[in-house]
Amino acid sequence: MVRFKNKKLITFLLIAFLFCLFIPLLRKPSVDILEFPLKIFNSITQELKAIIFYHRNYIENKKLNKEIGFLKQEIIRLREIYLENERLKKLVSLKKNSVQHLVAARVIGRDPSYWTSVVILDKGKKDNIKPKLAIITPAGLAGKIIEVGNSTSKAMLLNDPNFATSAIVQRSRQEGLVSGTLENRLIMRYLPRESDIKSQDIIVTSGLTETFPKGIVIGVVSEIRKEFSGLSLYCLIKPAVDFEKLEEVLIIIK
Amino acid sequence: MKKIKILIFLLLLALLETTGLDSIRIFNVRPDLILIAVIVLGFSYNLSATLMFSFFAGFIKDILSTGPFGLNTFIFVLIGYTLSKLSKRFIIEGLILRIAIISIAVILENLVAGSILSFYASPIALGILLRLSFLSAIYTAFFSYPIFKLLNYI
Repeated sequence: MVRFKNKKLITFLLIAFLFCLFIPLLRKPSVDILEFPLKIFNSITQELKAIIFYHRNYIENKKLNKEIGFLKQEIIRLREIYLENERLKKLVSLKKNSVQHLVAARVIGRDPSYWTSVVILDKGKKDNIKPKLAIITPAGLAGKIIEVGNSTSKAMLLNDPNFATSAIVQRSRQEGLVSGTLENRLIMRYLPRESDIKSQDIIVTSGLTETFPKGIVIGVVSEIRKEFSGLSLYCLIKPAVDFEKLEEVLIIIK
Repeated sequence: MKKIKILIFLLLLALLETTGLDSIRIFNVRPDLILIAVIVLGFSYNLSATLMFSFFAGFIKDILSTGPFGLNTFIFVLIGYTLSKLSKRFIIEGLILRIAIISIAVILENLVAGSILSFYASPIALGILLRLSFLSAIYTAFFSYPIFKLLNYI
């Protein structure tokens, strides 16, 4: 009787193993099938959040409206600088940067495991999305596309430990490698001991990684520390994007 | 019919975990509702039914995540099998005992999954691994009572 039960269990495990070998092919279409229920659940939770966090949203709204006023002024000022820059570039006949094409996508779900920071977006192959495309928000760099289905895709966020990109300090142009830590902060490594980097420096993409255009804001330096060996430095970065409140992103289509 | 209801319930829990639980994160940790359901089902059903539910729950979690495919399926089936065997040898009654078993299962699941992912992809700092495992055990245990009640109702 025991042998028969063990046979049953072994048969089941064998079938499950064979099943798992072939099932990865069905992962992407399965996520596409779940797109509609994910969207429904997401909409319901957004509405519930709006009701539950009404007071907090009201205060935040007031604060943001004030900020918008200041930012509008800043935009006008920067637009002037941009136009002047364009005129000067024409004068010295420099080549113009190519215009980036952006596709807006909504976050409809997140990876349920704790060990990765991945979101599910509602755009896929039919929207010209391909793997390794960069995703940004108005605040800065958010991550990159890693898996693409027909109508959905998965994007790895900056704070995923598997994420890495070359970056520079905007002020001193010091290069380093930024990667995620699973928490709401990033780490920039391989900084020489004599690096010109200090707290509150802005970190931007260097353009050396093919996926990410140059000059996209990654975050702000919060702390600088020595590596265990003492031979180099690393710094902790407060990301420009709040990954926990990510609802919409822009995908850069090359 | 009851088994189909349970499978639908597991699917709904997976969708809820993927969409709705972000706003109740504490230190980047969310409660693992599917695992609670698998453990409760392990106490209540026979081996083959438990394995079926565990397989389905792990499979859904694998579809929605990006780790190596089959990792969650394997861990959930292992947990379901162990609990089914345990519930035959020992009487696991009492809410506190079941919550304690859930906490232990969550810690083990996170340690195993985190360790495998460390080898598969970038290493995860040991401090973060331990902290997330213990925090998720406490937080998940906190949510176990409503899942017990819902499953009893089904």
